[in-house]
Amino acid sequence: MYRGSIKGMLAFGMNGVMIGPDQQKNIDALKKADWLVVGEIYPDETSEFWRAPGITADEMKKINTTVYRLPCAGFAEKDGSMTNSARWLQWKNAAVPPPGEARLDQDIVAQIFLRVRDLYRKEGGKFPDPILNLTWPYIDPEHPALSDLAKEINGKAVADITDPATKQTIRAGQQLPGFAFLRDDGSTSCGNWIYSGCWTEAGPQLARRGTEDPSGLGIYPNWAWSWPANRRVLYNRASCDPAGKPWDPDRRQIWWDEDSHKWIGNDVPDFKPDSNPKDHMGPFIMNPEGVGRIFGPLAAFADGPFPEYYEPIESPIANPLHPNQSSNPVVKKFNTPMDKYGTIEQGFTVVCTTYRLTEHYHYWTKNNPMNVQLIPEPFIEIPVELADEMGIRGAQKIKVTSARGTYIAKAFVTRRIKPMTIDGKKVYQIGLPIHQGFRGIQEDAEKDARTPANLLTPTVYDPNAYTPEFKGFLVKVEKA
Amino acid sequence: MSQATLEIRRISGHAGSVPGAGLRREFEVCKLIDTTTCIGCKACEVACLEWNGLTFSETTFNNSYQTMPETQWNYWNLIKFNEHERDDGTLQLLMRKDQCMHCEEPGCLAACPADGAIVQYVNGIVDFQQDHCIGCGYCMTGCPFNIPKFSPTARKVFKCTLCVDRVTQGLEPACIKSCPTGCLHFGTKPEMKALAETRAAQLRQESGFAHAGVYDPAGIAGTHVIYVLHDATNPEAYGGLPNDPRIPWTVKLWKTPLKWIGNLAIVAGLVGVVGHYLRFGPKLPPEEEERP
Repeated sequence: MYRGSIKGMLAFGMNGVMIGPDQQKNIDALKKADWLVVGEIYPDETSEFWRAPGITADEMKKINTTVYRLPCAGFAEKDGSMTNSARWLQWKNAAVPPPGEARLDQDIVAQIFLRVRDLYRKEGGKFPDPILNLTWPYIDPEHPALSDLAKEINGKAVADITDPATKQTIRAGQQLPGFAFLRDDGSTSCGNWIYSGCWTEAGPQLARRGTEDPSGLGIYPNWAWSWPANRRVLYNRASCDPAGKPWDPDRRQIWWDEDSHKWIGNDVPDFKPDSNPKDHMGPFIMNPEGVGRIFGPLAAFADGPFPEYYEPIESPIANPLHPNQSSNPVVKKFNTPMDKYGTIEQGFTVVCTTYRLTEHYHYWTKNNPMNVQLIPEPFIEIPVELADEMGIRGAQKIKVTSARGTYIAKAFVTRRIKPMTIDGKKVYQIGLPIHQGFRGIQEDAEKDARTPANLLTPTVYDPNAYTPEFKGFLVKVEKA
Repeated sequence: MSQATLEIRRISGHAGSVPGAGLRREFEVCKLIDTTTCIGCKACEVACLEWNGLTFSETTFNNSYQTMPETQWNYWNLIKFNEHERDDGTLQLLMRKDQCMHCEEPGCLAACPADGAIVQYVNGIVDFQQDHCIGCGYCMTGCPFNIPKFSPTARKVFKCTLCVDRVTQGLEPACIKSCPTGCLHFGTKPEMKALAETRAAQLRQESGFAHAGVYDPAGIAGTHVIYVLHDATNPEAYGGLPNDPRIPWTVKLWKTPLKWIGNLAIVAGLVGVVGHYLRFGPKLPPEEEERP
């Protein structure tokens, strides 16, 4: 979009201006868009990018992006599932209907799709088949129920299928019991194999609320549903010795049962169920060699094959291990004029990091008076030593500048961040929370500087997971 | 907040016995706060405001994660944050949830002159009855923890009720329910005391906190809110938790000896007046001497 090739964007439940690094570039990119659709529960920075700090009235007139702001339902106003980091899919029901003119996200998306499909029917277009032939089996096409979607993701039999081992037959139209029944011949359909088993013929497994824990190990196998196959611990074969006996007799997850010639236990075995330990199949079944990797083949990673330590792109020192190749050579960077990187020589001598607080949730609790009361305004945590050196007192306004932007907030002088001595040099580190921006209760009342933290951060992506380098970059600190 | 179903043990400013005393057997309740597993998320602060229907206040950042310097008449539950440098030079960020301690011998109740404005239930909860409060603020001087606060608009004093309305219905206080780390516990006093001692022993034996212990100060006969501290020898480091809290001697002096001396003085004065009358009779205007 910044380069001008993408003309529009639908942003639902994601405040793109706030979440990405190098925020000014994100704002400048949106200025070039023809249209922007934002579905949110609050007016957010993305839908109000045109009134970011520093944009004058004249500049505002030159922004031609048409912004459509659609009020959406909040999490308590719609049913659906939430998946936690223990991989449990937990179904919830709507508590209250969406207020005012707000609508469910899926209704908005469905109605946009149906209108686009009508246009393709009437006017045709390049490669219309995926749009015209998309399966749309919902009872009310304009209002798809999320339960229907969850069932669709679980998958069903399109034709009668029979499992060769158990001779169990699934009739056409029935929900699949799990991913083992998926076929690559078109006789089954499924939204995502890892979720297959979450909504079977026996009903919504993800809505289960069984609080029993037969093993006493905290496994709770009947609470919600854990992907894949309701397995609570991945690679649980690794909890047994090579002979298939649990390493820890007090915490037995699974074990090899010689009588039945099967892996059984308190959890669903993450293993070939009848693979005798004598056959030496490795526990890490997603790797062909069956063991964990220190040597990662290049096919799996952009860098490697061995783990290596690299300095961030902006670092106060050269990597002591290999100063000539200080940072990752295959890191993902961009080369527009907006993508600037600072150095010590330019005066950016302080290391800066960004983080979240327990008092706020991302960028939307700054619209809730309760959270605002707990942490009312942004701050910058700086070590006592740096504050003394610069004559900065606690709660005094200071200015932090990186090669990309400026952030102004009150100083939080603390002893919790200590100066570091690296290679004989004293290096200061500062930290700032990411939550505040230019749209919220305090921001609207102009009670703070309305400068979001990501004005400072660089667009540098880790080459494998594409995680931006939010946690380490260089800045200078001044009194504001 | 009147809780008619709870049995009252003590009443402020009340002459005579407590109605229905000893009628039923009730457990003494207790809140246990393990400061060693608190992460300072302030969920308890929000739960307190929401359950008790308290109003929002505007706050400003003042070089701390702490929301405000101390509890307020409409903010009963406050986590106090303190950066504490230990003797060995290591730093601790101490977080202590501050609220009414529900003392076994409540200084507020002792100081209160208004009949029925402060009651202590048999279960240990010390509860302000704003209907009877005269807004004199004496309870504030009686409290060794600086908890009760005066509302200039209501002209009455407020503080944590230990969610007496929830506890009567068999529920835990709102702060306990909201805690995500499980550092807050609620139960009977003996249960909580045992749990606290177990945790303190674990900290001493397994976590290298040689002075870990339980805060249940004897000077006020124990409290119905107790703490596990990393260093029980230095409670002051936890945002000014008093080392040996007692009811201020001024309150004690005034409420016990002085009160009786005062009563005695009233009676003695009356006796003197009557005695004087009997002995000397009424004082008559001096008879006018006839002019010579």
